[in-house]
Amino acid sequence: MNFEEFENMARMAVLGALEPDELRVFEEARAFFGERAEDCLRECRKLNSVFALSLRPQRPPDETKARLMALVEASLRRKEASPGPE
Amino acid sequence: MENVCSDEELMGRIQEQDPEALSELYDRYSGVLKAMIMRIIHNDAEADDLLQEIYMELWKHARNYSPEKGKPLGWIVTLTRRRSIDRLRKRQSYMRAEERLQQQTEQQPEAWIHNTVDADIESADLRQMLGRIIALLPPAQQQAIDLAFFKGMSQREIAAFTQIPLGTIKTRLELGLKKIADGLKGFKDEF
Repeated sequence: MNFEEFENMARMAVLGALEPDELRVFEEARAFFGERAEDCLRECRKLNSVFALSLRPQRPPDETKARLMALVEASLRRKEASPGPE
Repeated sequence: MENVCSDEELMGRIQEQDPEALSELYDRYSGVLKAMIMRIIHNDAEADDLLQEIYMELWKHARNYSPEKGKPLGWIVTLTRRRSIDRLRKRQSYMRAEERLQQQTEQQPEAWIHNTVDADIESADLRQMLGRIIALLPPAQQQAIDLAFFKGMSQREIAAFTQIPLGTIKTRLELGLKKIADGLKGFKDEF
C-alpha cells in the first residue's frame, strides 16, 4: 500500500466505514508508516468536526444545562464528602 | 475586554474538575452537538437527554482526552457521534426510524445543503465555507458520506441500504472524503 492509499483508508477509518478485513490492513499500514500515519490520522479526524460544524446549531432548552450543572455539582459534593486516594 | 479561553484551556480546566469550564464548553458547543444528535436520532426530548449524558461523560472522563490525538472538538464530536449511533441502534423504534431514514435519504443531499448554508449561524463565514465544500460534492457522494457519518453505516451496510454495488460505494466515499479534505487545506488550524 502506498501512502495515498493509506490516506484514503484513514479518512474512511475515522468515519468508522471500514469493514473488519480492511481495518486489519489499515492497522498494519498504520504501524508501517509510523509517525507519518499518526499525523495523517490527526488531520483526518478533523473531518468529524467539519461535519458537525456544517450543521445549523439547535439550541437545547435551558433546563438541560441546569440539570447537567446540578449533576456536576452533586458529583463534586460527593467527591468532597469522601475524598479517596488520587 | 472579553477573555476567551481556547478549547484546549477549557479541557485542561475540566480535567481539573472546574465546573465553570464545563459550563463554558457547554455554551460553546451544545447547539452544534444537539444538531448532530438530532440528525442521528430525530427525537427532540431524547436528544436533550443524550446531550446531558454526553457532557456528563465528558466531565467524568475528561482525562481520557489527549491533545496528541487532535483538537478537543474532534474528540467531543466523536464521542457524541458514537453515543448517538448507539442510542439509535438500541431504540425500540429503530424500525420506524429506518422508514423515516429511507424518506430522508431520498432528500438528503438537498437537506444537508439547506442545513449548512445559513447566514444566522455562529461563525457564519466558516460554516458557509464548509457548506460550500460539501455542497460541491455530487449528491451520490454526499449521500454515501451522510449515511456513513450520521447513521454509522459501514460500506457494506450502505451498499445494502442503497442497493448500489459495494465497489461504487467505496469509490464514492473515497472521492467525496478526499475532496472535502482537499477543500479544508486552507483551514488547517480551525478544527
